[in-house]
Amino acid sequence: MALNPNFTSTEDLYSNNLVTFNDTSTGTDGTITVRHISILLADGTYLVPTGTSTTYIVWDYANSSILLDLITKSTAGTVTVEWFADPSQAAIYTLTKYEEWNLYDYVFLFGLLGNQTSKPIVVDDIGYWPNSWYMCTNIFQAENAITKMNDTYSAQAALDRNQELIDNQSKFF
Amino acid sequence: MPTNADILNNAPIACVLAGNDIENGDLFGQRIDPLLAQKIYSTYFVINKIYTLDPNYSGMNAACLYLWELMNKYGIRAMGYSGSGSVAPPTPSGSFTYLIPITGADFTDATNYDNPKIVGKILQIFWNDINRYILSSEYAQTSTGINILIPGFDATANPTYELLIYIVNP
Repeated sequence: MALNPNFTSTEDLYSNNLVTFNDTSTGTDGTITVRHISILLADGTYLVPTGTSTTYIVWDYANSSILLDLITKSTAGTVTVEWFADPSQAAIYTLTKYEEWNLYDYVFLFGLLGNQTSKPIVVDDIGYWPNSWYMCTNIFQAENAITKMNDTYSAQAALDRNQELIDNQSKFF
Repeated sequence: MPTNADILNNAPIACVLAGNDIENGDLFGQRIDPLLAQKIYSTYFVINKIYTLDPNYSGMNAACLYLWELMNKYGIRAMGYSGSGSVAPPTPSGSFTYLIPITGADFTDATNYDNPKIVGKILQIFWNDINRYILSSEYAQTSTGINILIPGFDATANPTYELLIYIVNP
């Protein structure tokens, strides 16, 4: 019985740098021994954990999931998973998905809300609301760029606009 | 106070109602924050995402209450549309025991009566046979129940003793 390849990726709410990939394929193929994950970013580079010398991540077929210390900011990418019988040969199955991990932005905004609830004078200045809306709109744009347009460039551009505010938050909130 | 789930269920409706009121307020000169609908939406947008991933996320309750304050009267009105947000009276998780009638036969020996329901509770004990509450100095609470200290009290020899143990804080 052939494999119907599929996978999901989930960013950790508490450690936003961590992303878990799960193999949700159905069917079986006894020849498969290993998977490779390739994450192509909008700037044309490949995203891999620190210390990885290849442009892909090796994912042992014995493990249905793999936890990766992957990102340092909200990120969009074109994710390709390949299933190999022999990694020196061509992949038997390949699946590409457009993914976005944006919890850095949500957690940052939630943290601002936390400040509002405890010490509003600190952040309740003229820039708080419009810049919050700006960030929410950018998140919305990034989500839709991925889900409706398969456009990692636009998604990453929106997320990077937010990163500018996060990096310079004392000026904006 | 509505629950976090109630607040988040009603926030989108409150956003609509606030938007309507702002528009009508322009006509009738009401003093309404013209950006309130946007504030409700953006606050809901963030909280709802985190709540979906973990309803118990640190600071969730404070954030939801902040949203509830933003929703203001529109939160109450929204409940009329959604039908959610009713306040349920607290119901006990189990039945209360506040009066335990016992006889001498229930004692484990001449003076000791054991019952986990009275351990650590504030008690008043009425002794029918002498027609009065016994004094606090006339009994001691033990790790398993009570020990009657009245001189001559012997439940073993008098299994027909009748006592009523009232639990003040069941």
